[in-house]
Amino acid sequence: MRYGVIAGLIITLAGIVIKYVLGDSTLVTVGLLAIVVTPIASLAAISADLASSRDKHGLALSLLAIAIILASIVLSLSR
Amino acid sequence: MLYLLALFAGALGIGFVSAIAGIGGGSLMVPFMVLALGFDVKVAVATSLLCIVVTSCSAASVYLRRGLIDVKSALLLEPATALGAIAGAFITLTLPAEAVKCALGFILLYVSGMMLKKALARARSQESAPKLLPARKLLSVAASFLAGLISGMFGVGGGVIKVPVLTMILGLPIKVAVATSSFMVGLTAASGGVVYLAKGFTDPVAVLALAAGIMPGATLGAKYMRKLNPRVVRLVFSLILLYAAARLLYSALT
Repeated sequence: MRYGVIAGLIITLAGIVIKYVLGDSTLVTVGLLAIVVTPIASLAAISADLASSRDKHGLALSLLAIAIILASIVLSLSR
Repeated sequence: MLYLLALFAGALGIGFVSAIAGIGGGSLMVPFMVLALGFDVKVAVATSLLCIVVTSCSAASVYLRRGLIDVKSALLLEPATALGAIAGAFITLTLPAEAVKCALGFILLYVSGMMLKKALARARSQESAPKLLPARKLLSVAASFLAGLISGMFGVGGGVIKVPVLTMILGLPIKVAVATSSFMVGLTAASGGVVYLAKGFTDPVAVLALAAGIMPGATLGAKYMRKLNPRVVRLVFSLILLYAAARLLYSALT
């Protein structure tokens, strides 16, 4: 998790430099998205663990949390 | 450049104080950005949420390695918390900035009161873990939704609600509750943060400056924690919050 957010911060920093030089902000968005996605990725890893240990209840709850967060991304992009 | 230095220095102080007081930095970060640096309140909330993701992930990775996080409790509460955070973010985006400032002022008054109570209270022995009845589960899920709503609306972690829910309702030991809350805070802030990010409210430069300041600040705070009296720090923290709440309410209502 720590490496995910640090990578996100580094990408954002590189993106800010590129935006300043070339005027393209794509990398900034990628960096910020990497920060936001890190906890969701860790939740996905926990879901995989739960699936391998056959904990159906825990797996259902973790998948529900992931589904809600992904739905929010889709909703906020579409509205 | 000067505002970047101010952001960095402020974040250093916020990280230091919040590590000693045992509370997330979000409740100080938004008022600092709005009152001291003149940020738009919605940009401050969006930026604060991303910083919370950074700090919470750093702490949660350590807690996960040590096995301190109660994953089952986190998974029970997180869907409701995430839903609350997303709803909160959409509510803030539709409200006028003055209304958000006013509501944030009241939330800070509440947090300040809680901190003051904690600072003045005598240490109590830990209560025994309550039996986990379905009604308690339902209550904890409802409280988590509220915690998420507040987090998404005001750019705070919501630990001030989550930790009591985990200890008093679900009966987790305080260390496990703090670790579990820290893990949940990252997910909640990410859920709310993604809405603001998609709408273009996040300031990437401020995220970097704040994250760069808050992490060493928190490390320093943890180092000096034993040398400073946490009750005095909590008292100072609650007075700062009280001042911030008064300033926000004044600026919103005049």
